[in-house]
Amino acid sequence: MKLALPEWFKGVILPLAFGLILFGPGWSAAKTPDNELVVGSPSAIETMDPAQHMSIGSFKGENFVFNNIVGYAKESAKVVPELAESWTMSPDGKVITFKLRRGVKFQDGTPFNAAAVKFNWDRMLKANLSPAGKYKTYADENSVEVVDDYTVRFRQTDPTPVVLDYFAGGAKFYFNSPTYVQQYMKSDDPLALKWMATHACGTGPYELAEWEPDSKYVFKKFAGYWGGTPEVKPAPKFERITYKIVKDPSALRMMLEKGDIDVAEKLPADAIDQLSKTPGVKVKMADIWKMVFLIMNCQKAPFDNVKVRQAVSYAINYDELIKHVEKGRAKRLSGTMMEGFPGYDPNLFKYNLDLDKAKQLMKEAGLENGFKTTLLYSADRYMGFELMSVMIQSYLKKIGIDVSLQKMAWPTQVETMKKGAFEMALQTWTANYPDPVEQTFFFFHPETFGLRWNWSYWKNDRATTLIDGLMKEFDNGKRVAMIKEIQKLGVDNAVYGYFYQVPHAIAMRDNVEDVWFHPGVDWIPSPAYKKK
Amino acid sequence: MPAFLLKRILLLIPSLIGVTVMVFVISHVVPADPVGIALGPEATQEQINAMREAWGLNQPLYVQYGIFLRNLVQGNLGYSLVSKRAVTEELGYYFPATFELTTASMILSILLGIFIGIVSAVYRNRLFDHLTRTYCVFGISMPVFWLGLLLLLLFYVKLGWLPGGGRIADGIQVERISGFLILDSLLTGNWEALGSALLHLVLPAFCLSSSFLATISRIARSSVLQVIREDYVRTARAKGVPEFLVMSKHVLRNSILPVITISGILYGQLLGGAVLTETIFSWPGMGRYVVRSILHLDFEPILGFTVLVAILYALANLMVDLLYSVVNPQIRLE
Repeated sequence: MKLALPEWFKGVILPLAFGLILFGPGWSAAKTPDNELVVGSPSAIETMDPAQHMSIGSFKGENFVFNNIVGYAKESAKVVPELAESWTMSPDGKVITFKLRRGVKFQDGTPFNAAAVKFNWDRMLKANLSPAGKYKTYADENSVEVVDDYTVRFRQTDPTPVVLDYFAGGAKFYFNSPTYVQQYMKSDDPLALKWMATHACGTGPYELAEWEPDSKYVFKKFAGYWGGTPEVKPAPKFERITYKIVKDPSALRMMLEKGDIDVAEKLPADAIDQLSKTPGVKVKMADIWKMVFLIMNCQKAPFDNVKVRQAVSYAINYDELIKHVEKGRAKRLSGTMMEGFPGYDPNLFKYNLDLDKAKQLMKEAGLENGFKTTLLYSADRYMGFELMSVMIQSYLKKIGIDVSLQKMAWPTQVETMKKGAFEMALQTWTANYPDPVEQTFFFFHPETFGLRWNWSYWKNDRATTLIDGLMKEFDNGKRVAMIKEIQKLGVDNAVYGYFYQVPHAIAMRDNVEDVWFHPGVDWIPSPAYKKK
Repeated sequence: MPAFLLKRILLLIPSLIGVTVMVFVISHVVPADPVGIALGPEATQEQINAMREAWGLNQPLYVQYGIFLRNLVQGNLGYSLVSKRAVTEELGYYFPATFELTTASMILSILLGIFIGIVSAVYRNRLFDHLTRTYCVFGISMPVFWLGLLLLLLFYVKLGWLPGGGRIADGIQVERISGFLILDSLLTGNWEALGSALLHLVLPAFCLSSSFLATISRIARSSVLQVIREDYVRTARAKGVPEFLVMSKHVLRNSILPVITISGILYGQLLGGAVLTETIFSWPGMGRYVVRSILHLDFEPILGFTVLVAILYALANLMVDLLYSVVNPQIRLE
């Protein structure tokens, strides 16, 4: 059939259509108000209640609204005063006496004091959720004592030398106004958990103004903010911060390029690459305590043989993984102690690609013909695993290991690993405070097998003894020596495939300045401002 | 009619029981522990046990199901393990967004689909028919997430004609009465909000409707083609009835039944949420909500969602049956 287009269509409509598309309005960069910061992120804020937060995602909203008893200075791991002006520690490290800052008010106008600290501590422990679990390792319901209106004593049941890091980054110690919380305590909800999940009344630079779950959270400047310090949550410069949930990374990127948002979080590595060359946009790279690694089940044949684990470690092309998965922006891991942690040793032995050695080790293990195995991974745990799993499959094929990939939803993968019903798995781990105990206890101690996320199932008496000692050792020199020995044992035995420490990239409009991003994956928005 | 309606409502009960039993069993036998996930790695066994007890998760499955049914009868769908909010409250928040998006896309699909179907049938094998046939292949095979991104790239980024996501522009406040933004804007006379809500609906509704439009237009076309060849249509034309009346009174009325059937099925399906479209356009709908619940194995939202969708699906099918009798009075409802 002959397709005959009318002349008027050819002469007018077609050129008009093409013209409009090619030369039309084009990039009409919208502009967010100067006094407002609009952040786009794919991660929703699950809860605002420090007694209930389940994941690092929850910290985002809390960081805007609360202050901590002690904090980290800017983007460092140095613990500095925040709501506690000063503190003293007993010689055995068991008791810390905090002197609280005076003149600080909650967002409902009531004063912050020692009674508020005690109230929040008691509530958190009674709620007995994730935050309580973190603290129960070192403390109990009697740990917090009110000495006077502005003095609080914290008594550890099992002292840890990193208790201040625990407050600053690990579990955090945030405070809601007792007066505010108490009005929502009811007989069917004696701790006001339901109300406080989506409401807050802290002392921080911003107040929660709007909560649209999984869509938008708006924080407005708290006029009565005590001002912070130059190192910790200084006085806010924006009147409002709007936190928008944009799940799709391409849509998020488009909104940033268009100027409808000022900051975009959690963009994939290839988007970051392109945005770093986009006019009007800049990228801030922040070191964070996040690592990507391979778990090998050390109690399941053939991975119970150290030679097999070492062979796998020598078969991986780490540089290629970093190049393709992270676009070159990651650093090789030195054991499980990341850069910034006490005991971090950049010179610790690292496995590098050496196929001959890998094949030799397979031969020594009696497996020169290879074997079949399965690699579990979850793309909802980490986007990069989709590509990484395929790359690992191809590397191990070269030494005769036939890997089947098994993609799972994260909860299912966790359950499978808890039962030990797996051989290999990809995992990420993010630390929000530099605790060498966590980086050893949760990786190498048999007490954390299964339930508590140590899925290597590797048992070594010397490592166990060292870790037990590390938990009680306050002498820094001795601690570092112990950490190094534990790390060496972990690496020599190829307990994990130690891949890399992944940086965090935040893309933002080029007029946004002074965004702080702490390595514990904390976004500190209050010092940020927009250049005029 | 009342007897028919009562019968259909009563038939819903065993359907709901069947669906909820199935979903309940499947979600509880999946090898994953939502409590362990919720509490994180530092959780002790004591805490996990305490939370299981508090949420009734340590009871036998049949007891848990019984409690769920008892609560369901009282209108209580339980609480989300993740957000700690009542499931009814959460569904009340997410459902209006899905309803607006779904209804807009179905209206677009049905109106345009019928129009395209009729014109394609009348002018079959002409240019219009070829163009629409090409569109139908494109509409059915194009992945919705890809189409969504292309639409954003063109209409949002390049042309700047339409917004890039969300339900309404930032800064526009609407008093929440029903949760349906368009309705609430009309009820409060907030024309700025109405305009913004409609504008935000354009791209996601078009994206979601693309494959349904293709399906409906093809079904409409073949149905019209079949009817247009009937004797009574030829007779009507021979008697000098105006073509418009021939098409509207005789052809459309008799060819629309398959369109109504497929529309009912698609509508019921869509009311369960369209996670890909919602993701691309940052639309806070039920699709995203249920995916989040599934990934966290949050049982009560999953069950609550299932109950709601089962009811909506049944209502959509009931609506189809009622429309049959309206369009064709010869069809008796029994």
